[in-house]
Amino acid sequence: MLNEKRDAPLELRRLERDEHDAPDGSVGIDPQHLSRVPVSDAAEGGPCIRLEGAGVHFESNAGPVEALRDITLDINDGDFFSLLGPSGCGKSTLLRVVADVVPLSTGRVTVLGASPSVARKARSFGFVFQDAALMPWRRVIDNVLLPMELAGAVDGAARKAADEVLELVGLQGRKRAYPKELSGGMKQRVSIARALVTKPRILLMDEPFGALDEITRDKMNEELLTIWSSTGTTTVFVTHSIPEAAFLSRRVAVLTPGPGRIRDVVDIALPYPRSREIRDTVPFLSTTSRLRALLAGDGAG
Amino acid sequence: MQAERTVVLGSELEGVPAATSPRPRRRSRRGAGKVLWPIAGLVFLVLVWQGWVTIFHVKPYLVSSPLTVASYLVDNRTLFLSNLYPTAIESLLGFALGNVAGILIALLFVYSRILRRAFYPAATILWTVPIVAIAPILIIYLGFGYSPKIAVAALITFFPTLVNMVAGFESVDPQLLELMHVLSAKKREIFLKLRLPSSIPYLFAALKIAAPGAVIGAIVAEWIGSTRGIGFLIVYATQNFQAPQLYAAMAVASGYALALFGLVVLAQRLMGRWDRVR
Ligand SMILES: Nc1ncnc2c1ncn2[C@@H]1O[C@H](COP(=O)(O)OP(=O)(O)O)[C@@H](O)[C@H]1O
Ligand SMILES: [Mg+2]
Repeated sequence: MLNEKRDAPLELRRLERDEHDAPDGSVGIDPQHLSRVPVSDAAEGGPCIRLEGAGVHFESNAGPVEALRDITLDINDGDFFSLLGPSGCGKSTLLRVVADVVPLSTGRVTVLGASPSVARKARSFGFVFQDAALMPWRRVIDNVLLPMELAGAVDGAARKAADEVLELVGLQGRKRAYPKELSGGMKQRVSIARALVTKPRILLMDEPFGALDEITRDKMNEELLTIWSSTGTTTVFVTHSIPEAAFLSRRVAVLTPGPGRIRDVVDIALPYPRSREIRDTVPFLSTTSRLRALLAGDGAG
Repeated sequence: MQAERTVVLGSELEGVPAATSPRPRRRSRRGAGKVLWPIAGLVFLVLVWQGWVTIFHVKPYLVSSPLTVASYLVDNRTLFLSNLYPTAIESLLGFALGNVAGILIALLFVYSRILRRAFYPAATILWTVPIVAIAPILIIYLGFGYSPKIAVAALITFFPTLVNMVAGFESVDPQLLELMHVLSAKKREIFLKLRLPSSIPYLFAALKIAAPGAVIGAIVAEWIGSTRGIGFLIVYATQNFQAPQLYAAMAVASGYALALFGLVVLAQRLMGRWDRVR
């Protein structure tokens, strides 16, 4: 985490500089046409995100760091997919590769059939960070409208979309509040609303509930599943919590550190909708113990 | 209850921010304390000064008592007002010029590594040259009018604003920068919607340093070469052993600087929403 904070600015400086200065380099998408292609159209089960032998090296002061090695992974359209592993195993890096923030050193990545950069410019991503990352000078509603502003004009349709997502996360009553007036859980809800307002094809979440207490976290997990089932957005969720990954996901990739590699991808066979009671059932507990064993390196199964 | 309130006021005095105020009633009392305590402190110091001069019969040409200074000030108000006018013009224009230059060059430095590498050290060196050495050069070069005073005032405000604004434009939350990238924000949008608002608290910190700085700059320049202005009055009073005039000129200068500072604070209050940054 500390590393991330320290290293990010340099890397982002590059991003800002290299930013497409072409006249609106984006593949023009206007908010009205953002409504998702129905899942069935997009080749049922077809990969939405595909990584083939992907590897990432960073140059750091202490020499080169191999953050990810030989990642091969298919994430299907409409999936809820989690990346589970201890901190430092490259989960955030993997998410950043998909979001076109970090370039691959080796291998290939395709997002929605093209490069991450094309997907990004088509505004296909919603991103949620661990610490909400709201603009403290903007009210809740204006934070949620930010992606709309960047995608084009803020018109009536945009405002309606913002109202809808705020209702979805249960914050329609706090539209006029400033972030610092909100609790941690509420801030994270705003952040989720902001990520969903443009109806992106892919929702990327980097330990979004990692800073919340366990009670709030469990509640947010349930809400997130409700949102996911109502929007059907392909979700890639980073966590280091075994129960969280098991509760939310359809599939979980277990990562091991040094360098980050995929140990196994586990199908979670628990039926949706899932409610918190499921956490005390035998199938759930056997799932978590399987994940725990994988993380500990005790071999599959 | 009584004791509890005293504690809150006391901690405020020591600059310890009270973490949360459970009841708004208490908050308003603390608000009153915010004004009352500094005034009480000032009144106390002035009383000590007056008492010292009176009790020990300090020679009036050495140190004037507050009462003498006050009555001198009132009796000669037109003298002070007409000399405050040029000082005010010079410091205000210098303030504007120095800050605008500081902000613009900070922008250049933030967006161009090369310019920054080449000229940040030069700017720092300029800042370390004693202003009393630069002022005479400027006066020789620019004459005895307003311009050298404006230049000195601008010079004094320039560097703190430059340093603060470079820090301000770079004080961006890296996650927000990453978010802007993922949302395909253009460079201009990243500046207007992220870097600029992030820098506002730094701007006000800079302006608070610059406000009294500009006044000092104008006065120093007047002190070195002019025939009017508060700086001139100070030289004149010193050379003629006019202690009350010297003290009154000092009071006017610091009152004016304080007023400028107050305007900056007021502007920051009015922009309240930027205050919510961190
Ligand atoms: N920008 C960077 N520069 C250098 N090293 C980095 C950078 N980002 C991440 N790393 C390193 O890559 C490894 C994986 O980091 P990260 O993806 O943040 O892990 P996780 O999210 O699983 O905690 C860590 O060793 C980290 O120090
Ligand atoms: Mg991480």
